[in-house]
Formats: sequence, C-alpha cells, structure tokens
Amino acid sequence: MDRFILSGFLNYNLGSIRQKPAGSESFNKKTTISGLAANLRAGYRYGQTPGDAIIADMLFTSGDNNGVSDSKYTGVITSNTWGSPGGIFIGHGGYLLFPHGNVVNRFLAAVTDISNIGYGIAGGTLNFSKDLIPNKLHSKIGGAGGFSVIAPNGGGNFMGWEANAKLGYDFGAYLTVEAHGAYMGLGDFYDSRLTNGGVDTRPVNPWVGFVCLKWLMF
Amino acid sequence: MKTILSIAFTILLAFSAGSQNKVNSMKDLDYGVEVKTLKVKGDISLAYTDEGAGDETIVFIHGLASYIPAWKKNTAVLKNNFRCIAIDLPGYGQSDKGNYEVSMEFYADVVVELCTQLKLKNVVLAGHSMGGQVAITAALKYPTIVHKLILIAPAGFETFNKGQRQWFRDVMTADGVRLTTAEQIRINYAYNFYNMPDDAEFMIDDRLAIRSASDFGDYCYHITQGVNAMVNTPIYDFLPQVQQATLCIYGANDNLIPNRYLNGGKTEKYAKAGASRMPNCKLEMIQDCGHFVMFEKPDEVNAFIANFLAGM
Repeated sequence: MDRFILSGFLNYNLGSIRQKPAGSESFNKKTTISGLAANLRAGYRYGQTPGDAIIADMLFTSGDNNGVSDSKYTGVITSNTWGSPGGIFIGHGGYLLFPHGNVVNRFLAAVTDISNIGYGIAGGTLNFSKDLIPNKLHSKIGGAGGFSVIAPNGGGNFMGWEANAKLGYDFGAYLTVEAHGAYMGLGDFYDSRLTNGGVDTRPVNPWVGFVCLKWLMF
Repeated sequence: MKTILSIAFTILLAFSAGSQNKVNSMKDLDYGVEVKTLKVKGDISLAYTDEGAGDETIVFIHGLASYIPAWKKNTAVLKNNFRCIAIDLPGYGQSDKGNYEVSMEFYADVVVELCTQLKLKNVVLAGHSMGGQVAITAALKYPTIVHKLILIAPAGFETFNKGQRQWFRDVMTADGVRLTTAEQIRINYAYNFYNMPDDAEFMIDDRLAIRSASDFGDYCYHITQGVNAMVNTPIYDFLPQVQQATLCIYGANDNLIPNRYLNGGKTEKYAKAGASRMPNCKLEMIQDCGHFVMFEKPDEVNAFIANFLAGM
C-alpha cells in the first residue's frame, strides 16, 4: 500500500558438475557452472487502491551458446531441467511471452522458464492498472517484450512483443469474474528451426482470450 | 570472512531489536499528554485526556483497534476553543480490559457515564469509524445529554446482509488479531490512509510494542467483540431518528468503507446514503483522503469542526 513498490531477486549459480566414472574411485570435473538471474520490479501506486498502479517488471538471465560442449555452462539452471516446475516467472502481468498463472498453457509460453532453454533472456513487462470502481471493477492494460541473450542458429535475438488487457469484477469476498486477452508478435528468434518446431517459416502470432471465475473458498 | 559475517549479523540484530519497542502493559503506552482515569460501570477504569476549555465539550471516541492518540492532531488545535476530552474505550489503550458484554449500547453507556460524572454541558460527541456508530447510538439513547454529533468516517452507513455479517464474525478472531504479522500490521495501517503520513508511524510502533503486553490478549478479544457489536446492531434504519445537528466527514478514498471485500465501490455513495437519512446532517467529503480522515487531513477536519460548532 506504499506509493512506491520495489522488489527483485538476484541468483547466481557458481560451481561445477563432477562425474564419477564407472569403476573409478574419484570424481572428474566435467563442466563449470556460472549463471546469473536478476529481476527488478518497480511500481508506483497513483490512486486509492493497489489496483491503481503502474508496474514494470524486468528480468535478465545469462545464456550459453554451445551448451556444455566446451565444459563451461553460463546459462541458468532451474529445476525445470529435471521436469519439475521451478524458475517459472509468473505474476508479472504477461500471458504469452512469459507464462501466466491463469492460462491453461502456462508452461507453453514463449519463455517457459527463466533459463529460456539455455539461451537466456533480457525482457520485461509494463502494466498500467486502474480500479474503474474502487475495490470492485478492476482493469489492466499491459505489454511485454524480450530478447534472447544468445541467438539460436538461423534466428535472431528478438523473441517478440505482447499486448494484453484484463477486466475483473468482484461479486463478493474473494469471488471475482475476470476476462483476459493477449496477443503476441513473434520475433526473429522464431526464424530458427531450433526454436520454431522445425519449420521453414516463422509460426503465426499467438493470441489468447479467456474468462475465469476466481473463488477463494475457506 | 567469519568475522565479517558475525559483525554484520550483530549489527542487523541490534537494528532489529532497536526498532521494536516492547511494553509490559498497554497502560505503559506514552500518549504525550496527561492521562486521567475514572470508574464507569462500577469498576471499569476508563482512561481519558482532558485539555482546553470552552462553552462546548467535544468527547472524542476512537475507532476499532485505535486509541486516544489517534486524535492528537485535532485536540492540539481544537483545545484552544473547546474543552477536548478523548477516551480509550474499555478494552483499548490504557482503559481496563475485562470480559464485558460488549455492544454499541455498552460503549454508549460508558461514554455518557463519563459525561455525567464530569458534569459536562453542551456535549459534542466526535466519533471515528466504530466510534461514530457509538456516538450515534449514544445520541439516540441519550438525546438530552448529547448536544451535537461529529461523525468521521462513521461505521453504520454501510449495510451488510445476514451472510456478510456472519462473514465478519467468522473472519475476525482473537487469535487472528493476536498473530497478525508485523508486515501485515503495516499493511493494515497503510490501508487506513490514502497517503500514509510519516508521523503516523508511531501507531504502528505502538501496535508492535503492545504484542508483548500482559493485556494484549484481552485487547485482541475486544477487537473481535467490537466487530461483533457493530454488525449485531446495525444503525442504518435508525438514522432518521437522530435529531441532533450532525457534521459528517468522509475521506473520498476510504479503503475501509465500503468494505473492500464485501461491497467495494465509492465511499461517497455510502456517505450520501447515510447522511441523507439524518434530518440535520451536513456531509463533507475530503478528496485524496482515506479512512483515518482526522489524522490524514487534520487541518481540513479541524476547520470543518470549528465552523460547525460556530454555527457556520
């Protein structure tokens, strides 16, 4: 409820991967690890409620252009590497470029987790929200954009842009109906067969629209 | 490296300890003015401050979970022209905290008993939030004693259905109040303001300090009882019966009225609905102002009160 909002995180992976070959008594150093993830969220509440705010969310993760082939990995390791959800960046107001908590395809956003499949990401979101009726009718328009730190073979760094909007109405205590919509313009990052599903042309721009009922029951 | 870490930890600990004062009893809270007591309802010690002099006496009644210092920006000015008495309701601040049968009528009886014991004439009741509903109740029950009303963001103008009233009772528990985290306490206070003034920080400090007080548990109990008292005896239908001249002041950006979980919406709608039901009520809306009107916009509130009591 302060006027100014500032938060973020900084994670740095530093270490090495060691393997113990079969029949050997000692570990061999295989790959050194050095990955950085940083986030900064800054905002300003210009009106009465927390829904009257403008908030920017920025994310940077380092990438690696050749995996572990050179025995060095400079991307971010998330637990998604082993199949469990972790390092998922939600709560930023985006839908398609970054995953959203209420989208059924949340794990199929352009940036599925902050490692960006090892390429790294520099991007963010900007959201302007307003309570059209205080604590009752909520609205939001937002945008997002992102650049891959490492360009995939055959593609560029620009991942794309997104425009989105939301309208929500509170019917009662913790009972809200929301309508969401978002459109994403894919960048040249998806010209690469490594990132576009192995096709020769850039895929069509994705969009999403949905209505949801949120009810937090005690 | 270990030395650096231990020094950093010690400094952090020192700052943490220094920033959180503790009191052994809520009677140890420092109000910055002389606090007097008198006995009401037989053996309940009621704390009050008494400043200034004038033809009219304003008795200030705080809101839920609040206390006498909530009025300090008003009494400091209004005491130049009026006698200003601010009270801690039973269960709050430096007043006793027993297992009373709390109701709006109970609080109203206490307030009027104070007026009677102090032989006050031309009594003006000024109530904030829950204190506003107490003041209205007292005005209805004791019309010959209560001369005028000043209602600041009063409870009672917003109505709740049966289910919503039960929601209040279910949500507000003594344990819930007792275990409120320091962070949530700060958020709760911030919700009382449109722009929380820096000099309101003492309220948060006091609220954090009383967590160690021996009577803190009783205080938490009384907060739940205060909520129950408000929802158990809605006042809205009785507003047309209030005959006293009334000044009602709301902040236009009140995040507590209407209740943001149950009703939401613009404060002005509820303010106008309630004020229009009172035959002698003048409504003032203050822009860019939240629920704690008299602390956030004291100059405007003090001017409205002075003009109202001057008959302007």
